[in-house]
Amino acid sequence: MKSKFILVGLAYLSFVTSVKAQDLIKQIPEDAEMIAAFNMKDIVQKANANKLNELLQKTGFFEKSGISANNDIKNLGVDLSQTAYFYTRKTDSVSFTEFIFSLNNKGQFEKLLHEAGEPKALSNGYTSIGLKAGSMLVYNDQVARFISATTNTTFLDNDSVASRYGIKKVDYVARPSDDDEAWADTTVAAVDSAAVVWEEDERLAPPVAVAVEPDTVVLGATEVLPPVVDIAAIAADAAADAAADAAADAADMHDPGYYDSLYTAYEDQNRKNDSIRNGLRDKWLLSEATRLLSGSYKSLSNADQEKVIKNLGLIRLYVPHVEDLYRGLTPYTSLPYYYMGIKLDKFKTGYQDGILDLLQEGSVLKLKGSVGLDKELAEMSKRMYARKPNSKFNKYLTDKTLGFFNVNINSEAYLREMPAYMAKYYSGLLGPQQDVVEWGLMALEIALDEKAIAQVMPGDHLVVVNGLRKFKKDYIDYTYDDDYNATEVKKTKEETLPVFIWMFTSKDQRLIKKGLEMAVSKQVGHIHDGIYTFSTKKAMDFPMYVLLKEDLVMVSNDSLSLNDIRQNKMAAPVNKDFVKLMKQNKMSAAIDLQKLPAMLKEMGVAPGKQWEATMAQLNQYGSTAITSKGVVGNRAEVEMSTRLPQTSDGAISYLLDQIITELNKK
Amino acid sequence: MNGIFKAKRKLKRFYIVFCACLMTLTLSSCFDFVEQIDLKSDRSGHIAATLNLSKSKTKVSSLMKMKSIKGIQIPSQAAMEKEIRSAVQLLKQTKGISNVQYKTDFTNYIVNISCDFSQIESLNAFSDILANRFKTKISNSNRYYYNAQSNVFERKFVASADWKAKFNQLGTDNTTQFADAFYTQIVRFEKPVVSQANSQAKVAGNKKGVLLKLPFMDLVYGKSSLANKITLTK
Repeated sequence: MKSKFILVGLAYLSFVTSVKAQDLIKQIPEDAEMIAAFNMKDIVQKANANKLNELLQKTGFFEKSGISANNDIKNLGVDLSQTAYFYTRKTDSVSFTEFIFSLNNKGQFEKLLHEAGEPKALSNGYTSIGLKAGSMLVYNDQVARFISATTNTTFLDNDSVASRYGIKKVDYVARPSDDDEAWADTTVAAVDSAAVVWEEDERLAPPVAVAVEPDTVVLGATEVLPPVVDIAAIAADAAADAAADAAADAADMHDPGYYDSLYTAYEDQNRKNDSIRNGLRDKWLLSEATRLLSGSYKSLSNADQEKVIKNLGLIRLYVPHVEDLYRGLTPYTSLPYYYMGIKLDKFKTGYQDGILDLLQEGSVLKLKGSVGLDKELAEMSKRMYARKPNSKFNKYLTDKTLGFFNVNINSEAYLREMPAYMAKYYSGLLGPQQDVVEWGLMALEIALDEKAIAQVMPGDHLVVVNGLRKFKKDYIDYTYDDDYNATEVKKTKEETLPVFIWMFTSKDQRLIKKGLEMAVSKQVGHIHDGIYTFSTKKAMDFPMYVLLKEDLVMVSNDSLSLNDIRQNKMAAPVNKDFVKLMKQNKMSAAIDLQKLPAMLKEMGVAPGKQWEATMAQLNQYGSTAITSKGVVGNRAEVEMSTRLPQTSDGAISYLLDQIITELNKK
Repeated sequence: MNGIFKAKRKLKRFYIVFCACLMTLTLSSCFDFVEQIDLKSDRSGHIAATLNLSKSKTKVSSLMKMKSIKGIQIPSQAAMEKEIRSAVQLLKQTKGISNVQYKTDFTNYIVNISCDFSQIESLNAFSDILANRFKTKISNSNRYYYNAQSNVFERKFVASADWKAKFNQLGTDNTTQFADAFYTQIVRFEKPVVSQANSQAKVAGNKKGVLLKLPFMDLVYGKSSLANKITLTK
């Protein structure tokens, strides 16, 4: 009976908790552009509350804020067991952000705000405190909401909108000599014509207040310089140059005589405009807060709510419409695009929603991202990435491997799908050129023999960095005879550098082999023991070597490694973790941090004293990897993970330890 | 306003070069700076200055492939060449300096600038222009004097505290990497040398030249000096 009670109690508690979390998420309007969810309970638990307190204490959070919370985040009045949310919402005139979090002790929370101002009753049982301009904090017994607004400058730049709100546009630029009438309409003359009487010489050279890059002066041999340089002046000038220039800048900007009436009028009007803009922003902010608190907005859809909170790790960033966000960030209304006939508003990405998660799995810290794709793009992408790495790659990922990069695409599908992909998603951009481009893409599709190309390079690539090797390197030095006449001499020294091998599958190597043989016949390179050598050139610091072995083409900066491979002398055991990582993903890149300190030491790279402790700790780190499984379901996924040193408390706690250690040093 | 733009332009240019020098000097540890002076009895002569980074060319070429590192902009080869051309133009316009030649080798990273000078003061101008242009003034005072009557050639040199402070900021583990960087000065005369005052300098077999090769770090920290007083036969 007792256990039943406990079970029922637990179920009730979890229900109440989930209801509370859902309540908060319901406050987010359905047209939110970007939403972030903070799993406070997990963050506090995984970071360890005591460590968080120590960190906040050391950074002076409690002290600076004048918070009488006994140095404990649990005494802030904030309910740290509830998920907190942040979102952005945009209209054509203003962008809003809101941070919503639960309270468990309004009294304690209010104490934190004693310096911010006097709380005022707002509406719907909420109290408000104005914080910095353009933002306000509202709260009741259960929840606190920090809302802020930023006006969209381009909205108020529109002439008809600006005049509707009483904003007068003024410029402060040189009057164009060939456009007096137009100038009269747009300059300060329109604001206060009596204040500005143009003199002929003045009108050409009023100071320029808009941001203008200085003219580019060609400094080459043709640069016009004073005919004779006074020797004494040079030394004095050079020494005083920087200081004088800086002083002149400062003096000019602070000298009241520097500003003319034009500038004063310009500044006055700008001040008026700014106060109108700020007034509008505050009005819109209040109106937004009132609407939010009265629940006037429709909540985020259930499907979106689920995407925000389902399997939430530490922090999640959710963008319901990636394509809209992308368009919002693109300046598609800009003039150059307009004249080029490019219509960015017609650009389709095929992307739907986007999710970015920060997770902790034991000592591994992960950043996991995914983007929903429309059905056609998802299918197309699956076909384009339908390739597994050549199984022969495995033996080149050994326990000596410092890092690797592998990507597998299906080049046959890629070449076949690309024209259709470009036509579907990009052709809308091109306006009048759309037909021509589509025709070109079709011609390319017909001209290319995808199957034949796929035989030459099917699309699986692996780059491995396998340790270090000493390379001989020429350099120029000088020798001196008895009379100290210098002679230039070529000397050789050894440098330790990482050895890399890039390999890819090629079932039909005729084209590559023919190309290599042609290079040999033209004496660009030579062949020795089946390894093609291309000597050092300006753009290439070391010789390059090419080996064709079975169905693999290998390119390396180290002939000895290729020679070992040619003679099957690669004896090092396989790195199973790296092989697993490569096999399980369409794209993977990883670096074994444990090997890094020794490698840098051998290369003679000293990262500096401040990095000493970090370098020493790298021995305890595991691999850092970026991987992508390609498209899973209808989502393109990518993941970044770092294995931090194993501690009982996990990755976040370890990071906090490191930060606290650094703070203790100061 | 024009003045402000000009000043900004100038500062931007200097910033690029300063960064180039800083990057070169802080991240490529081996280099040679060779200064060769041929001085005639009439106080005229020829000077050639060579900066040779070929020992560190792998590092330099890696750096040149980056646009910036640690927020410091890495100038392109074109930007460096442009700066060198500007310095050469400035030298060409300098009183007492003629036959200005320069050579750049961006495969081995060697830059050489040479010129003739009609008087010893012009030699000082040569040093000042290059040091100021490339912000590589390692001394507070670097002056050449030649008294044709007493036949005494003198170089005065006082190490710069600024450079010492800059190197101290790098920390000892970084500064030790400069162990293979050298400053070499060779001065050749028409007349034989009677005596010279720098204990680290050597007199040529034919007695008509003095060579001084010093570790760069010793110069920066004032352990060695380029200062010397060379007396020639009358």
